Amino acid sequence: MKCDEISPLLVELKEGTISGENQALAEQHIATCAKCRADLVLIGGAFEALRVSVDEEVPTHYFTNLLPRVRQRLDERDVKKFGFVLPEWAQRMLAPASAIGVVISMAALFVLLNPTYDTTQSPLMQIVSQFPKDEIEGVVDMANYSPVIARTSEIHRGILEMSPNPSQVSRQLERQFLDDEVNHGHRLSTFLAADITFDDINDDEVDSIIDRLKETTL
Amino acid sequence: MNQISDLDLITEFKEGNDKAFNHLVLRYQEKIYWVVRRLLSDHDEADDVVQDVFVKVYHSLHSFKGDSSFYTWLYRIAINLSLNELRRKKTRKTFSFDDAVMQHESHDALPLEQMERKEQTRLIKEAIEKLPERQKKVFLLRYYEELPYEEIAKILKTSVGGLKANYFHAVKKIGEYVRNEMR
Ligand SMILES: [Zn+2]
Repeated sequence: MKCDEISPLLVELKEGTISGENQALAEQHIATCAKCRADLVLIGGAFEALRVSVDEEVPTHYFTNLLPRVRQRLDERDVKKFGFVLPEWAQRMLAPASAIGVVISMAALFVLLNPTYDTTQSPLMQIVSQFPKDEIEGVVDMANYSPVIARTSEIHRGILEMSPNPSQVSRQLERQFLDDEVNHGHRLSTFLAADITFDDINDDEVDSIIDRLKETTL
Repeated sequence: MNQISDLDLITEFKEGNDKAFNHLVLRYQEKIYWVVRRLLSDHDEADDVVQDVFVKVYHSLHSFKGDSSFYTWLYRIAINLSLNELRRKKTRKTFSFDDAVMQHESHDALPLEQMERKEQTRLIKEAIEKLPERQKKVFLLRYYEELPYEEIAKILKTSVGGLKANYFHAVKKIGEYVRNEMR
């Protein structure tokens, strides 16, 4: 067997999780391979140091106070971001629509940032092209009111920040988008929450991005 | 009462019971805290990110469909927000006075065994900080969270084979670091 195949077994050997069959395999290999023998020593040393090391401390009552602080953040955030709090039903109604908006404005951004991007090759573009144009504009308009769209703007800003190689970034985002959301049937907002966050957004910047998006023809 | 499943709580939340969210926070706050803390290795930064995680969860829970388990989803959010913070930190590269003081803190007053523990703890922390991102994630989930490879594969969306290799390299690097620093 090759060293690469043995390596994971070395860890299992030191963990004590190895099967009898694999143990025989590993020991046979180690007997004749100096490299893997040395690796085994290192792994043993790591586990020993890990065993001795202690977890660092958490301030007293931290976990008792966390929930109230999260709650406070939630209250502040609602008021700060929008100046008013949308009723729950309205937020829920906006969520799927704005998820579409996320895709559309992402797609628009690809065009903005990559004039030479071959849209026919892009599965995202193919999806976006199925939406009627007025619907697209409507969704982009809603941007100012929806919390999910606010997160879209964070993505936009992230892409802009990550220039000068936006095409690579866009492609990466696009791939994740499709993998995570479309293929697995999640809502797009799940993706937003899970994979991308950036600093609080500057309102002027958002406005200018939205303006640019509106000017873009898909 | 402790037996209510995550999914039931999420359903209650979606149906308008805002308090169901509290139960989820209380249930997972420690696990999430430690994942984040070990990734960021600083309590105050971890605290900020942990709050961000739960704020994100609150706002995204309505769109959580339950295709993956809640905690897989939650871990993924926590890891990604932590890594974003790490990247931001790297670009800022500020030097804090507190760190400088901490590093020169005297160990003289401690008994020998405790000193060794403290030294090992410091070495482990540094070794983990130096791991490449991917290996770091795998290591933390496997070693500290004691998750089976199958679960880690779901969280990180990857194959079990690759994870085992990542874990091996992570442990080996930690071993190398500890050995070199102890010389
Ligand atoms: Zn070998």
